[in-house]
Amino acid sequence: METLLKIENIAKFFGTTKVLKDISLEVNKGDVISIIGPSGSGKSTFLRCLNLLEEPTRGKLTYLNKTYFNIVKCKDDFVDYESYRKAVEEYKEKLVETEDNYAIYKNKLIEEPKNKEYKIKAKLAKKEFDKVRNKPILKKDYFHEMSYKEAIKNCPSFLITQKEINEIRTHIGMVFQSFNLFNNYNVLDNCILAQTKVLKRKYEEAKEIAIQNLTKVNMQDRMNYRISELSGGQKQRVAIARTLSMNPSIILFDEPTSALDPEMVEEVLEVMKDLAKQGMTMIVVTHEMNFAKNVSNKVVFMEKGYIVESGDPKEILVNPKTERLRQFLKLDK
Amino acid sequence: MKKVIMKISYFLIFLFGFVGLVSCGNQNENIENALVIGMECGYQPFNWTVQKESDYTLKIDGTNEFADGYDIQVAKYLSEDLNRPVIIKRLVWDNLVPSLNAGDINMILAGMSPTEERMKEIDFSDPYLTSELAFLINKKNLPEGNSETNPSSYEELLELFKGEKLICQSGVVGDEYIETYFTSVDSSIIHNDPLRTYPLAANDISSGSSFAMPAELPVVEAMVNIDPNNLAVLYVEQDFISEEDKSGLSVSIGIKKGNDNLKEELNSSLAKLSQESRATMMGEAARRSADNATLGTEENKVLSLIVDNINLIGAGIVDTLILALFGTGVGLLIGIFIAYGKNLKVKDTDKLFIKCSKNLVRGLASIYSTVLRGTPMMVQALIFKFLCQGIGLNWGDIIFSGPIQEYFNGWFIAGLIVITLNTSAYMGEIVRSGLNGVDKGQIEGARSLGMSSSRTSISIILPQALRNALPTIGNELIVNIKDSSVLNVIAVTELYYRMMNIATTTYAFLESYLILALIYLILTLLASAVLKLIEKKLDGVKFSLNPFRFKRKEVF
Repeated sequence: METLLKIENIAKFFGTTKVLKDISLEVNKGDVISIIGPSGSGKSTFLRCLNLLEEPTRGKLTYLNKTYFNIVKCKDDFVDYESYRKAVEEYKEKLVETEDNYAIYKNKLIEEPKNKEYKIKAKLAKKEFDKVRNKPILKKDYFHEMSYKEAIKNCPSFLITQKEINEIRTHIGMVFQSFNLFNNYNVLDNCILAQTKVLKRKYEEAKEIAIQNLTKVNMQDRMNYRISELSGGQKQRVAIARTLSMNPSIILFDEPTSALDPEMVEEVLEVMKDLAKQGMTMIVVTHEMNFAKNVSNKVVFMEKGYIVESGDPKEILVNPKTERLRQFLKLDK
Repeated sequence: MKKVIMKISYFLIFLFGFVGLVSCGNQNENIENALVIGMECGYQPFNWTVQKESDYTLKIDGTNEFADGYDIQVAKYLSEDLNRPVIIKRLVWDNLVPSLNAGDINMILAGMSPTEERMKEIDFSDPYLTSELAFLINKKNLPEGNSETNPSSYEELLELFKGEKLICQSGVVGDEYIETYFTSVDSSIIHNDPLRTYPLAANDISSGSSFAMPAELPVVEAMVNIDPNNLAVLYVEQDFISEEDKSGLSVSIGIKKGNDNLKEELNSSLAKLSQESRATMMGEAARRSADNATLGTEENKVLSLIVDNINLIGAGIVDTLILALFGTGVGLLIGIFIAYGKNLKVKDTDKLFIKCSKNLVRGLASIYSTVLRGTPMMVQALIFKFLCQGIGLNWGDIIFSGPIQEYFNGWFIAGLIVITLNTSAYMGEIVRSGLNGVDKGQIEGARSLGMSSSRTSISIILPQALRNALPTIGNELIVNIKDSSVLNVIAVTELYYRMMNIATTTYAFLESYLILALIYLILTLLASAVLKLIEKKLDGVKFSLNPFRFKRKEVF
């Protein structure tokens, strides 16, 4: 089977926290991969790294033999994380301490507004607090082996141009939890805009494709509606049609039903099931276990920035090998 | 993006080309031989503005209005005697001497007295009218027995003025006399702040808020003619005035220093003008000035004020609206660039050059908006005017030909530039808050479809930001309609400026300004109604920067 997307050793750090530590995954044509896991496990961040909406800190991404992201050594490798984290913790403690100190005298002043001693002490406490607050701990002060500047020089962030990234994004579409439809256009124009502006399709052609896809998601009779006139489920279906109109090879779904009423969840899941049947390659971050079990052909369980377990849904969702997944699925009861 | 830049640059080229063309055309028209005379056209009975041409009037350059008065009769005599054409330029009193020195005019014929202070800056011809000092006084305060043959003595005057308020027009000799002969002698006499024109001061006296006004006898007589029921002439003995100050009572023609040829020419011509004919001319001028001020009957004063000056008021409304609309529209365009400039963010990964230029642009944008928002537009206008004069660009030189000259002149263009720059600083902040108010998800949605950041800005972010900021932008338009009035300081002929001229020529101050307030109120109400309509319309159809996209609504 043809490998569409190859993900190797992806890592992503935000400040002191390492959201993704080391994730590798292969996506074949026609795969429907469900990513499950507790909140805060980095599922959404991982998905957003795939089309570079979030820039991974390290790793390699290959789409159809074209490597569009490849950083083996990153500047964060030179950060002395231990002392950095320690400094940040100390900073937070001191901030709370000085603020409390300031608050004490402030409250005393409210009771006795004319007390000169409190006035002076409050002023001093405020000064102390400002001094701490205005000097946050910066990551770039905690580089070892080489300085921050050298690290930037030695670790270029992107290897391809913005234009190539935009090109990749037309192949890897994305559907968001909060829909992100363009509020200043109507339903039809939402589906046409990117086609004419990015793919340079003719307006008539783009309109035809948009109508086709809107019919696919059963929104053909609302084409002239404004976005604010739609319900959540309808919005999400339009968002799917908008992504489909770009003819992507892979669609990333970032919790597409989490913001919806239970009634509307079904209509969106129906559309996604249809897409899966038609052989669309999809990566879905979801909390819908039934969808994961019945529609997808692979389930990935993530926790704390790692893939804990992955495999056939019928296998691992019924008989998980790891204790953590068993716990997550509440199978012990 | 390219298209937008092209459109803007076409517009700028058009604008500057237009100004350039006009100013070139003007230079060719300059008549070498002409007497270019500067005057206020609002200093009765020496000179004032009228709407209709008559035997006594000359056309005011660059307008459709005419000037009348004693000065005009002298100008006519000089023109005939010297066989040279005359151009009348209307200038504010304080601008007369600077304009003469800058060479915009070659003589001042504006009832100006040759005081020592002025002689330091310019030369004067022999006097073309000598007169006596008199006081304008409320009729009920006139001492008994005072007449031309029985003038009051200096001691009587001091007794009469004890504890009273004296007033005059700013910058004239009468104002100095108050200081020299009265307030410095008796500290109980109060010197009221001088007013902009004699009619305003006369209004003060008839209403009783001031007691008396010193001025040349013809001026006082002209003022009395306006309101003979309440005002009277207080004749005074002349002997208390020093010889030096007496020269201030005569009026002479101001000439640029060193222009002796013109001075000799004028002096020999003035010598031929007899004292009798001067007196007749002055008397007639005073009579006409009084006639001019008489407006129909009391009942339809307001109506006749509007009907008589409907052209002026109309032109003023057109000018004010153009100033407000152009200022707001183009200010918005510039404001968009300023907003983006202020929103630039430096990334760690940027190259040094890009970092520096980003910081530079952001710094310039914030200085621009801080300075322009932190200073009054009136001061900005004056600075702009004098800066331009400093580099040799005098906006007053630019004169349009054809029917549009009634509405536009060089100062109007200067006013457009000032109001646009001022508005753009505010617009920068308005657009910036609009940009920051757009949901970040909109950007992500667009980027996930492969749109570049500039395409995202133009198609998605900016239209939404502008839509959100529309109420504030509309507010700015309303502010501009009102605030364009401060541009009168650089002689932009907008509504307030024209109404002020009407008020000083008709003496109907309260009525004029009430009408003015009403017009402003109607304009702002109309503007807010139109804006509400636009808002409704925008919420009904989709909004895009591209006007052609509106057509597509009716696809199905």
